[in-house]
Amino acid sequence: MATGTAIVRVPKEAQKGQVIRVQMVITHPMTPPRRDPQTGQETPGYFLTKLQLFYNDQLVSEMNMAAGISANPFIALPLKADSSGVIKIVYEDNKGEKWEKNAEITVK
Amino acid sequence: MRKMLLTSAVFGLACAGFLGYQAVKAQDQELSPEEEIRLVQEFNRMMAEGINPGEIWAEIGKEAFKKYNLDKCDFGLGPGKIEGALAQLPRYFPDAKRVMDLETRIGWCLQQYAGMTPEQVKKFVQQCWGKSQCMGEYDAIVMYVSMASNGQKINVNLKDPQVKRMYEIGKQIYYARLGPWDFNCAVCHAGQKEVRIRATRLWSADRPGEAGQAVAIFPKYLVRWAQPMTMHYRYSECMRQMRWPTFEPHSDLAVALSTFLYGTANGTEIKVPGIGR
Amino acid sequence: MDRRKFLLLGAVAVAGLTFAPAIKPAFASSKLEEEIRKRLGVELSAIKETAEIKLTAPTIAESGANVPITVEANIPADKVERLWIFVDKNPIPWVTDVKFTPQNGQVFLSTRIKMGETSNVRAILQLKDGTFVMATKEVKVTAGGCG
Repeated sequence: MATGTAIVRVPKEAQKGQVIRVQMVITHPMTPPRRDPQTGQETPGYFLTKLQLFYNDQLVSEMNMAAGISANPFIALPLKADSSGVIKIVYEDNKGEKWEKNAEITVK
Repeated sequence: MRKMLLTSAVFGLACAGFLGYQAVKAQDQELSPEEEIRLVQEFNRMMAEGINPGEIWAEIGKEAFKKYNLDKCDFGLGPGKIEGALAQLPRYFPDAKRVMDLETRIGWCLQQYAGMTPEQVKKFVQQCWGKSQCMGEYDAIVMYVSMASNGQKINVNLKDPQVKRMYEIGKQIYYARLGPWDFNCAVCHAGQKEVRIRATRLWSADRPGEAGQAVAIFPKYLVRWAQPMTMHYRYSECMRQMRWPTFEPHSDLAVALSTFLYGTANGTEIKVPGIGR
Repeated sequence: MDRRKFLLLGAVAVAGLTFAPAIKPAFASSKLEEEIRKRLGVELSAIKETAEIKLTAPTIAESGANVPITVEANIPADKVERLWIFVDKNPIPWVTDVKFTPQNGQVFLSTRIKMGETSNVRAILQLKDGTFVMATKEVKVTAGGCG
């Protein structure tokens, strides 16, 4: 229903050059691949594979992951605040679905 | 003779080495019970940092609240007013002629303003029971309304005779031996002596502040089910484990327990959602 | 076989059992070592522990489903290529990796990982000069009780 929904939290304001934390939580089951011991049938799992952090359209950081990360994961990454604008995360899963979520920051 | 001594010495040394190795390996796995409890509390503290995944349910709940016309619902502070609503519940509602806790009031309002029958409400409430990673609108509504009381202190009006009555009934049920196992809440959650289930130390209604710490964080996000748990679901699970008769959400039994628990928790700051295994 | 030979054989067998785990790596790699070799192109034994990485993880986890970990490094972000997280005993030891750029301002990651059993968690920094450093923390995964 709401897989892929995210909350992104950053400070509303920051000083120029200050390193802030971009906090996120993303709804996703992060199910690992499984192999049925009786039938031998494999299920591929369902998990986020990549998260990219953009700052005013510039790619800052990229995180690769799979089902070793917990369900509905919390992730926090650092960001040097240089100018006011938009912090964006773009994330995708192993079924090819892709989402994005923004947050705004004012830098003095 | 010498050969035999030599052989025995080698054999003896090897055995000693083997046993010594096992002993050292076992030693660094030993933790005292106090140490273990402290470390588990530290783990829970770390888990509570950052953003709680349960907050996503509140976002869904905001939409569901409007969808089911709950802006007409009076939680005790006027229609649609949710800030501080949880903090003053349970309370007596003259329109329903009942003392109601938050979940019961939501269920009543769903019937009044969203045209649901009692059966439909029950199904709505139990939509995610027994599941995991389930995004249910009911849980979302409870989360949304509950979070609107964050930072406020629980303030159940025990001076109201109707509320006081439910508090006393709830207290009786809490401590009464019931069901085929003569079980009750107090077996696990009362007394001064510490009760543990494996690595978890259980809270006690008889130790000051602990009931408050337990209820002020509901709904609580559970990592083992990757979804939040409301109070009524918690009652249902406890009662299933105690072999009590099947629990009915929004029943007087539920309200009585909520009145006793939240009444005991008066003064505790609400901090929703909590997080645990 | 006479008694002496039998006793000697027994002694050797017991000694062998005691020390076999230590000898093992020379003949077979652990899953962790293979993963590190495959993904980092380096031997685990060549990666040095450093106090410049602060890896915070709980000593006990009541549930292995959601273990909070935080990594914070004193090494400037512009000297770092990537941060890798491994859990020794997981079915797949690699958990995540993060690419850092100078705009990050700092090397930091906080997240929640899954652990199947008591195991080491390792935060490995791949530096731009081609070297690797790491911090290790053991997390004991216990069974929680309630509910």
